[in-house]
Amino acid sequence: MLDKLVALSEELNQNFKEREEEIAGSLLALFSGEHVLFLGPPGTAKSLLARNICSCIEGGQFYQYLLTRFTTPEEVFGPLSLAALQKDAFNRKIAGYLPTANVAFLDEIFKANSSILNSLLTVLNERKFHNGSEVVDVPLLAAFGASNELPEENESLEALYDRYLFRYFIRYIQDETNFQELILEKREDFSPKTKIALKELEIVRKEARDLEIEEDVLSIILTLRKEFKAKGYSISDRRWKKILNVFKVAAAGLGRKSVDRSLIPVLQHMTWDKPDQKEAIRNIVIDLTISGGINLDKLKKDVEDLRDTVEKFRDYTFPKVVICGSCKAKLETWNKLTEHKKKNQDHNYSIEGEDSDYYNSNMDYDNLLSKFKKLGWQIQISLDEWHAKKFNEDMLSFDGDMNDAKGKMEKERDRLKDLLAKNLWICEKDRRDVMDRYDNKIKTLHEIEGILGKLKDTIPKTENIPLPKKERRGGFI
Amino acid sequence: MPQESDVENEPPSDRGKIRRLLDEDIVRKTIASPRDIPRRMREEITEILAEELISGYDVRDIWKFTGRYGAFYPVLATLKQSDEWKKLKELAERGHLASSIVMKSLLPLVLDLIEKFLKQPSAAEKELGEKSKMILDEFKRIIEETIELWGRRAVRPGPKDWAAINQRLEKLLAEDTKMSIMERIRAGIQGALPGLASKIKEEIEAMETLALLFPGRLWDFAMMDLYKTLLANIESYAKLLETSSDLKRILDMLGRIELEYGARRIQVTNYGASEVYSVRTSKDIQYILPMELLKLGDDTLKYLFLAQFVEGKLLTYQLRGRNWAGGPPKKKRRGPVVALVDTSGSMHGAPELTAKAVVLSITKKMLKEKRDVKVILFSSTDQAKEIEMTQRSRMAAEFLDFMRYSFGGGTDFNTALKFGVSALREKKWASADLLFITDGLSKISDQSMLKDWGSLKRSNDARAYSIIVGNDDPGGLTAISDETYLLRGINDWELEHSPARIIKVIK
Repeated sequence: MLDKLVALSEELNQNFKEREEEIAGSLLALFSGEHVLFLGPPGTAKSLLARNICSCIEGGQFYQYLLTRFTTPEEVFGPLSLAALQKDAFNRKIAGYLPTANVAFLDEIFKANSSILNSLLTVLNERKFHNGSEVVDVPLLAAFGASNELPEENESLEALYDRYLFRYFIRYIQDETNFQELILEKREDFSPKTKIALKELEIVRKEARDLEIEEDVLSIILTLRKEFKAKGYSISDRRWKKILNVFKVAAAGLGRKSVDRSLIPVLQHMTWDKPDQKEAIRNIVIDLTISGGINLDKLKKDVEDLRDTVEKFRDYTFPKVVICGSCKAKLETWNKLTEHKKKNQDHNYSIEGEDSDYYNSNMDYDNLLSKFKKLGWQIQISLDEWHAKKFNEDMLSFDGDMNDAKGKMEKERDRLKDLLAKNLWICEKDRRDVMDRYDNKIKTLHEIEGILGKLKDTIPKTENIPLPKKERRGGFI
Repeated sequence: MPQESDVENEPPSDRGKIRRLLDEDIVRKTIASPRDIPRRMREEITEILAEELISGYDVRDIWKFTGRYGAFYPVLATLKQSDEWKKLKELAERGHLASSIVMKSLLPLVLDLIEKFLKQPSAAEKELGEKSKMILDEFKRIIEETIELWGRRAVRPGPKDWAAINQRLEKLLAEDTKMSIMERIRAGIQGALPGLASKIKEEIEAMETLALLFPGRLWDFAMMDLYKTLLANIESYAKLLETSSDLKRILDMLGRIELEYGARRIQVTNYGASEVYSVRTSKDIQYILPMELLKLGDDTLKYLFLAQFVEGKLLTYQLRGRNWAGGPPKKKRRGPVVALVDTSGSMHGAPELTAKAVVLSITKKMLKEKRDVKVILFSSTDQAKEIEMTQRSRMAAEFLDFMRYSFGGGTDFNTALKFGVSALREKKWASADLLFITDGLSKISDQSMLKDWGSLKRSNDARAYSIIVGNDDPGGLTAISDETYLLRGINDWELEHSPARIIKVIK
């Protein structure tokens, strides 16, 4: 099966330039029984691509129609049966129309008017058609839709939009060579030679049903759901369920035994609603694929917060204000002093209210510290036991997250690379992006590690790291 | 037929608000401060509270929730029932700044309530009956174990671990025992919440003032000190004025920008019928598709036609056309103001404080409405200082100086008018009006100045208003003022009842 898939996608990719994502997604949609929407300006081969992908299904019924605002139900669902009408039945002759198709292509899908919309939605979602008193099962695998624009708001077309799980934004060809090849191409009648039988699709779907989802995939999905929710992108439960199903089918198509995280990048095409969300979703999806579900940017911020908080708790207000003789800044606390020292290495200090003899007015940092000692001032406060313990717990929790990510990133680097390389559903761009960002992410990881390392030194160690459950409970009973 | 769309479940205005709140520095710092409750749980509790604060969070599957958040559930449930919570939610609606402050103050409180059960001294429990003691002990253990599960790192707790806790909680929160726990929590909340909303409100207002004066500089706690020493006193008076409907009326009159029709224009809508737009099923027989008429030619189909007509199922054209759309005209936008403040020695004392309060409240109100203010401080001849508070530049330091220093010097209205007129000659302030704030103890003697003002009035349609403080006599400005108001009773201001009696002087 995999060989066939590779051959087919190669054939399609050769004929359609710069359409790798769309081809992979469309094939995956065919296998998983989902609908695909192509959005984009006119003349981007939306229709041609959809038609060609449809034609690779062997022995399948294909229905294709250009919808307009004036399309009547007869045109999509078949004409009224006159013979039946004379027998008091209201039936349509559906043979050869959408209700009997295996694969459908509906061009200008958002031009669908209200007279066909309801029936269309039922066909797409439930795969049923109400033909008079009879409910017909529609053998539809996937419906491809194409449109120039997103549906306008406040129109009932939003429901139709939601039925499309895969969404692709198609643009004009970018590369000049590709463009030349396209316009100089003489062959007009391309049709993929590799054919997939309906039976074969069924087999893959069956295999998919029992596949395991790897733990990190689940963790990525949970993180994503949270992230989307906070950002206000709403993704329905149905959509999540379908996404997981697509993952399973994708893994089965590749002949894998479980859903691994190299499939995660496919998710970016199934989660955006508005084109302006695409980039943000893509970024987070790729980042999480790398780290296996841990948001490193967030972790870094969290760790920095912890560091700042620890610093705040260790801060110490001097009994008298230290004044920088060089720039007249008032430094009341230890933190302010150290920060000042960091920026201005060669400044001299004095202490307000102390005898203004020669020594007090012009001390360098080291002399200042010895003056502190002489005055009996603390240099930096050390944390009390409770704070140290709590900080330690927080620190260890971050350390654990960091190590998880580290394990995923360092040990499994080659595995992920390998999985991605052999993953037909991921396009070259994503594959490269994941690996390109790897180094960047590892840098972030090392930064986190660095901060945590420093924290480990500053927080006094307490031996009871896991909560001493028994001892505490003893105190209460 | 399932036609519900799940494209959008939340009102669009909530988009990204939660993320922004969670990313806010003071909220993050509050999560970061150390506690018995592990960090991860603190974070999740914050997320839930943020959602509840902004768009409302209803616990749907109680037992799953308690299995995960343990003691947080009864705390959340009780919290949501309290009156104070409603006030806090209202405060949070004021915007990002407000919700951040609410969150900052609320989070420690909620976490404290959960931790309280752990730290409850046994002495207090001795008074309780044997049964409620047992219940509380069990609850305490459940909290401890929840916290322990949350803190577990090496092996993440699975559903099995939660199930055990869940079962015990379910038993514990059964009807007969539930009450004593809820009582406890309610008592805890009642002890902590009262006054919280009003306390937070003060902080929010202070921060909002600062945010207006210093846009882009937030959460600097040094700023809070600055506020306390410089503005708090004046603002308590300014706040009284802000609620004054008279002042609002005066401000509404200032500046001139004409009515905007904005969105209302002619466009294609469903109310017109000048073009064919689509096909639909209806009984509008005048727009019927010709092919439907074929049915009338056949004896059987004729009945179908009639049936479809009755049911409104005939295919008909849907028409649209050009018509008015976009709703009523937008509210009139009001223009900028040039405020001329008398800083002479005669203003010393109550009038000075009042003048500052008036300026502060005006500036705040105007900036909030995205209107520009220029404050010109005048005293003796040719002495004046301009402070621009516009959307682009805020001379906040100068503004604070004005609030800080006491007045002194003479009063020269000629100077004031001169600066006012030259300000209005600038393009930026061309649509502004003048607002004098003075005790009125002087008059305009320069005839050429008056002439200048007269011509500006004609060409720009400019107007001048006066607010007289600390004097019952409108004084020497009536000649050029379109309207004059007396601000009375400034010597016996009590914060409890509004003294801002603004009286219009009729010439």
